[in-house]
Amino acid sequence: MKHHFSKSLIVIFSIICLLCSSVVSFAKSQAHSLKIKFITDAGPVEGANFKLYQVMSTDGTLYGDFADLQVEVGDLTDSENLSSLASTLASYAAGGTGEPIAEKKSDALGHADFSNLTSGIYLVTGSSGKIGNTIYIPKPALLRITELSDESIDVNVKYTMLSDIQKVSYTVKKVWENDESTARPDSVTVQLLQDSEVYDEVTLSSSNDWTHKWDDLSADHKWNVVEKDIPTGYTVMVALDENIFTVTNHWTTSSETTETTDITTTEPSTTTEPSTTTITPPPTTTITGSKTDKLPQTGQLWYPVCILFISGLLLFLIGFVSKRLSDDNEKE
Amino acid sequence: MLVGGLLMVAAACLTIYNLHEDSVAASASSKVLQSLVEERNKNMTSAADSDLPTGISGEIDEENTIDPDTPMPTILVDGTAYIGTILIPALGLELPVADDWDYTQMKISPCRYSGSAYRGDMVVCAHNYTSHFGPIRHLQPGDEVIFVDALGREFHYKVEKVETLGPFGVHEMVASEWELSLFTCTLGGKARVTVRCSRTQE
Repeated sequence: MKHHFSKSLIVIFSIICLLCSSVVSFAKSQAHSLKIKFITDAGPVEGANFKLYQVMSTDGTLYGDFADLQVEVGDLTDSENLSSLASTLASYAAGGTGEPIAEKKSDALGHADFSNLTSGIYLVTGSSGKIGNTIYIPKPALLRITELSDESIDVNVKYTMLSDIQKVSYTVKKVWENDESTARPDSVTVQLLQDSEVYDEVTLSSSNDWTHKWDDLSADHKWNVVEKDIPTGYTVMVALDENIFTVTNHWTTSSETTETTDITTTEPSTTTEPSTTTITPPPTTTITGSKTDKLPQTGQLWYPVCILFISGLLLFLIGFVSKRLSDDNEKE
Repeated sequence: MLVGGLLMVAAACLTIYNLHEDSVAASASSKVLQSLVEERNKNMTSAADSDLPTGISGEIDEENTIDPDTPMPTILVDGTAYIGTILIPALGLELPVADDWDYTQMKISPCRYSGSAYRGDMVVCAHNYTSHFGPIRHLQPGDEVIFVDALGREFHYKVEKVETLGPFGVHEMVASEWELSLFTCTLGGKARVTVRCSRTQE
């Protein structure tokens, strides 16, 4: 009888412990860590400098300095839009907009680790790295982290590559969208930046069919395309496909009050040919919405205090009484 | 007896942990509040002289009317965006409000759960720490609540009612007609104490 009683106590205790540990683990804060993996066909790239910017809240509202930009966020579930948006925001970031919240160099395994990340949409940009005679250039990416995301997130970097002795060429192409052409300026000025310094400036207009090509550019530099003085009433998006920068100005009636911003840059990814390596896109595109169907748990763990105390008190009393009874029995 | 004793010790440890967490949250929010108010005052001063305040996102409305669809401007403190501060005189509370919510941020400050003060449908959530929204269950109809945005504009509200919603009452929470809702967990942690407020003219 006594043996059965002890066994029951152990079982009850185990159940309570299990319940408590699960409650505690549920209530633990959800800080996320991010591992960026820059691994190519030729192996991991060491020493590439990755910067992490918090650019948007999880609902897609631009943050801080990025909120001042005339950038249309668009559909965050559309991978093509995401790629252009990442490229455009990375350009602004390269041009000095916003401060990275963290910066890390990739280690010998090609990994760069970031920790203590809270919910939000992050922009990841990276500098190029070299293996042998090949330069690997990471593409910028957007990453959405919500409290539903895994605690540890791995992102495989997409990249392009070219030979370090190769000369590269870029074409810039101007596209107007959703406008009546009455508000459209006769020309726009576009700058080519070499590692964030202005290398060349050209005017695009109908006379040159809104395009321009730069040849014989050194592959050792990072090249950005910049639209200077974004026309009032337009948003800008810069996409890079192969070696063509498409600078799209989208007419938006709701932006009548916005003023002309200085500069827009485009993340270059100085590429002449896309990498043949296929890489899993970052989780950005797969996670939707920051809200769940449940309201956030905003309570401290007070109720286990009562459960623990009352259970403890009961067990203590039961133990005390049964010990007294067994002592009495032994005396008799 | 031993097991019972251990459980009581565990209860005591959890109590100490909760009290400690509460005190850490109070100190964290007070630190953020100080920086936020300083930055806001600085921006307001510079805004009076120039066009846009530095370190702040958003636009100053010259005509003192706010487009309801304007995104709420934010001030960055330690890398986190805050949309303003909330003041509840009846409880002696003044707290920063983060732009977006997550569990880590709620250990520091109340957070915007949804909506916008400009649109008149803002919902703010916070932990039930005594230094955060724990005491809001004591609010009475008529009590004043003031939200001050990142540009220093004040939005005055009065408490209309205090109700309790279930943990899955997301729709009831966000799709209400109330211009401001504040919520936190009940002591039991299961339901949400919700304070509904309507806007007043100062």
